[in-house]
Amino acid sequence: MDEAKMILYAQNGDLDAFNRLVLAYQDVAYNVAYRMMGDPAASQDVTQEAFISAYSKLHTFRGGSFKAWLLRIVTNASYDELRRLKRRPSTPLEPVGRDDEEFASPVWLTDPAESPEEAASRAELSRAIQRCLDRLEVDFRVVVVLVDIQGMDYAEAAESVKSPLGTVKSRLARARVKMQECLRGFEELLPARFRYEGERIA
Amino acid sequence: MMADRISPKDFELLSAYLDGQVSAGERQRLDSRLAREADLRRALAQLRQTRELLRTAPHLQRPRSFALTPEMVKSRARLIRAFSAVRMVSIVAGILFAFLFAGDLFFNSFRVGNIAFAPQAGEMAAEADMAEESIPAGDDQELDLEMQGDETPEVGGDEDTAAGAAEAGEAGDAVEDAAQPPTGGAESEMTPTGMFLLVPEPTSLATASPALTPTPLVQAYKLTDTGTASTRAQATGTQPSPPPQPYLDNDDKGLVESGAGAERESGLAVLLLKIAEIALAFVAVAGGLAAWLMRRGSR
Repeated sequence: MDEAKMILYAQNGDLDAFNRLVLAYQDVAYNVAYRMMGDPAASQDVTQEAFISAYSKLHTFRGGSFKAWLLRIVTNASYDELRRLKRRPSTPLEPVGRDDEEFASPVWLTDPAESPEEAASRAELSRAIQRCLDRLEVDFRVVVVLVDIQGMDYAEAAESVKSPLGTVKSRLARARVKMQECLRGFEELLPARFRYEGERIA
Repeated sequence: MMADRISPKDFELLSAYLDGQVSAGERQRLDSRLAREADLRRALAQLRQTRELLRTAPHLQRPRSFALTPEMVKSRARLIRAFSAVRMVSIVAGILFAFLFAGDLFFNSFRVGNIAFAPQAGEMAAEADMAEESIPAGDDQELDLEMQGDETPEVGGDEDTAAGAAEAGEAGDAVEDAAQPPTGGAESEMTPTGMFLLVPEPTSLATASPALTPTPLVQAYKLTDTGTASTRAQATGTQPSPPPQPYLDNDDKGLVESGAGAERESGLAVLLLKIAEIALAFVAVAGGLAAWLMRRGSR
């Protein structure tokens, strides 16, 4: 797919061209939204809203990384939704068990070669990471999600969160230290190679 | 604790070092420190472990496609158009209101300025003196309003001139009376309105000449009458006689009526202006509120 051409067509109102861009980026957009929101239903709403918003704002795209531009819309939509939820907290629709564990859980992308035990272990690890992310302040959370989970470089992340590179750098460092502290609490869930040894550093 | 020994600045440097986001000089300095400091090495190892752990976080499978349908786009476009229109109306109304309000304030201050400068006793007295000097003194006669009509007195002329001078003198007295500061009692009750109304009088008298048009003289009568009658009544302690009805011919009546009409029109214009101001302010605020609600609702 020639991305630049698709963007140009979409800017001229070609919805099919825009939908080809949606197909290319919907996984990353949904994953960022999920890591920001921590809730599958809210993440779907945020992702859909972000794509609608991206289509109506496409004329403002002036080149550069389309992924960074799109993820900025996704993160902004996540911020808005988090603010809205903070103002009007709602109870999840999923049934909740005795120990407050939700029965419904997100579906992870699995490796076909993975055993059921390994798949379960990965799902546990993902939940542990999500809990620690949820405890981070939103500004720190977004840089960890973009750089460490989505693998963006600092410049792209800075473009996505519309902050200077230095800000991204310092927020990421602090977020990593906080995540490390938090993940120590889930050490039994971590694979052996990720278990922290020795003295705490923070 | 190691945290006490490693500063946040060092953590930031280590984090950027891991991602290759340090300059060559910083890298060199950090490498030499890492070779010397075991705590720094351990901190770097643990940060690297955390980063690797986060990178292994599994990706979620999206539950559905997020491709847009024409309906989604249309409804959003409608909403955006409505939002833009409401916001534009609100902005335009706000700007118009600001202009009207500023203009209103400006003209009000101009009017207040005129009123404040009008009752200058010294100036009025001086102007009245000038009026007396410029017109020959005549016998003390009753105020002959007819003289102030369309029959303009000729300077140095017949008895009309004398009557006009007398009237001018009387008017000048009235001006002087009005110009004197209130000394208490009945005299001090003279209303400021009377003083204000007297303002144009000396000028019109001072410039009384054959070329004078009837309009200022009619105004002069109107302006001096209240003050003169009330002042005279206060001075003599008698009941003021009913104000003499101006003997005006049809042209003068027309002028007076047109003056009153202009006043009415001016009052109406001010009223309309106020209504417009209120309406614009309401539209600006309501439009802004509606746009804000639409924006919130669209999220």
